[in-house]
Amino acid sequence: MPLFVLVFIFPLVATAQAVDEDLTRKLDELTRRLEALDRESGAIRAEIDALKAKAGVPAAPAEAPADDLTQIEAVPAAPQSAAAEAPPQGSLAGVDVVPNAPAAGASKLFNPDISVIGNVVSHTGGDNPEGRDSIALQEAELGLEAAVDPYAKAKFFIGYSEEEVAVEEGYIQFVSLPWDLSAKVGKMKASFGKFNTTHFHSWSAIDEPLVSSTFFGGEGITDSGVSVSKLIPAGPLFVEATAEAFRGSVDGVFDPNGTSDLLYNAHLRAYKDISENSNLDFGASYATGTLPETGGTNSFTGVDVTYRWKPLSRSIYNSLLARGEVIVNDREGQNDSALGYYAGADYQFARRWIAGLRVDGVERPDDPSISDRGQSLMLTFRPSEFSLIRGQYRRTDYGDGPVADELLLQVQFGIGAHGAHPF
Amino acid sequence: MRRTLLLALMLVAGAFAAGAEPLKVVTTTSDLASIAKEVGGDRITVESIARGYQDPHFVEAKPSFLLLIKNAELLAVVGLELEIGWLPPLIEQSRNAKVHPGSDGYLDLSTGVEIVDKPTSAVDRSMGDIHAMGNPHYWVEPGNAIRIAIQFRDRLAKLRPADEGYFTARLNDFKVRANDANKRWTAALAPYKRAKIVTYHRSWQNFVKRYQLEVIDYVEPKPGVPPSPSHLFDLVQEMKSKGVKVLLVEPYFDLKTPNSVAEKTGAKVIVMYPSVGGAPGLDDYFTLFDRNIKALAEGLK
Repeated sequence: MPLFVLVFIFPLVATAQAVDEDLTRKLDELTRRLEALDRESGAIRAEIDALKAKAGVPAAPAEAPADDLTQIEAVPAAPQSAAAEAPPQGSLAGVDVVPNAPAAGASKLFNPDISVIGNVVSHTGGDNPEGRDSIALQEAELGLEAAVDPYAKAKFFIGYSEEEVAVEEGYIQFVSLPWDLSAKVGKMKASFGKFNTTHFHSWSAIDEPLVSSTFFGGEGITDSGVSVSKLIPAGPLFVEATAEAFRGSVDGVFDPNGTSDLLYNAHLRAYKDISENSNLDFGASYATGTLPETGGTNSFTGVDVTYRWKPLSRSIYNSLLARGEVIVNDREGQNDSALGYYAGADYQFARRWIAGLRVDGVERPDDPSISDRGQSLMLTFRPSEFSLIRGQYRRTDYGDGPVADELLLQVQFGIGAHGAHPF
Repeated sequence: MRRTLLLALMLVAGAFAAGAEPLKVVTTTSDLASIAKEVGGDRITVESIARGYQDPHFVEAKPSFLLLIKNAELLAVVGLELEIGWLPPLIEQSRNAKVHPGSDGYLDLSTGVEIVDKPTSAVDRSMGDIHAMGNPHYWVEPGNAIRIAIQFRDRLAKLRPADEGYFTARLNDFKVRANDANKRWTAALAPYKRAKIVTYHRSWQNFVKRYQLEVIDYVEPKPGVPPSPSHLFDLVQEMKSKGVKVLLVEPYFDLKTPNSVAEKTGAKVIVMYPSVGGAPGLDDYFTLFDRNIKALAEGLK
């Protein structure tokens, strides 16, 4: 073998020998570790078996169900997750999120939120000028509400009374428009003042104030149309402007001359927190449309003020709401405008009790020299959020007739979806 | 020490980072706000709608809250219908599609915590203000506080991927501190294991499970239903026969009824604060628990 070959091979052999020794050492080390692991896993297995025995779990794999049926015990109705059942440990080291599957009934894909509110009113005294019943289920309101798609919500309020079934409101509300806009299309209560936008089940009295029934008829300004509102940035002040256009047809109040003769309504609302316990709410409204019969312009201008007080730490026991609204009605062809108002306060003096008073008055639009005035006292008992029993003593001084003293009683109850608390 | 160093480093690194505006977080309750702050640090601003001394079921849907939600990038809620009476109209009118349910900007923390009192039969309102998906007062338990924090970390990291490391470091720090604190709290209540207590509302179900106390009855005959004379009569008899020493009352309930029950039974009324900010000085989750556990342990002595 030539020397030079040896020169090449020797280092190779030497390296191979070194590698060999290295491998042996590593193998030994691995074997030692494996043995240690084996011992450890044995110990762990023993520990698990011991724990299982302690917890009453059979160490062996589960066997076929026993034939002895006397050993059967009740299955817990709703088995909770293992995490929920494990006794709490002092250490929080292994805590991780618990994935909660939504409840089976949580889907609203097929069924909207459904609610029904019944309103039973009993009436006694006075000359019964409106032909009131001694007792009647005055209205049952069916409410349906759900998301239409990611961009809109839909709401329907259907009123059932003894005479008729009517869609009181039914609209789509677009909730994700740009530029701080929100829009509604359909039939809805016009944003005129406060009372006009309030459903009967959020009223603080059994009846509506004279100004509303005289100026707007029984149903208020409710019509089909489009409503657009915008938030106006004003620092800590909340300012919202609303512009609306309606078909212009409200029984006895507005009647359009053709399809281009619309009813327009504008509303501006400003709200401010005085403190965390109290706040002030201002509104100004203007609505104009066409009078029935004469075809002249019929317009309303209104302002409303609301003061609310609710001490946060006692919020379920005490609160006060004081509200006033003044509306002026101008009719084309009438020299004088008619003025109407109401002012009232509701004081919650215990968790389920509210006392209220209201004064109201209105000049009749067709003859403003005749005016009606009323005073009311209310006492409300709310057994829960979903029912109320209310009494109202009402004295009305009709401008062209007698003074009527009346007592009204109301029982109101709702079932179904939990609606938002009125604000 | 290493953790502190790491945090300091991250803070410095953060200062040099893109200088992004803090993420605007709005929570429905003060406890969620406190835990969000633990995770989010100075990379978020957080405001709570409800105050700690207020019954969270009965918050008013004020337009000023609407303005808060309008500007929020993340709206975090307790869920389980706790806020059903006031939050939906606020979200609806907020003009902020980012925080509608189902969006990344809406976080319902009940989806990742341990929930108790899940109804085992069909529920209806004859049972009072029952929560059909389980008890919503789940935050009064440090294990769930960590679960809330983990969910905040995950969501904040999704909204601000650049700060994920920062949020994770803060989460880990919170976990360690909560674990340490819980050892202290567990030790303080250890002598009173299985002690029988009465609470006003079902606000402490997760709490008593963690610390192994036994609630034998409630001042409310059914959730959300004010106490009736006949229920109070039964309650007094039961408390006497079982030797109940303490009666826990949330700060927003009237003390008149609990005091009269206490007088007749010799039990002690303890005002327990379910939420951060329930009283001056209860500024975060830790001070809240320190105070509650101390008061409870003294009452059970």
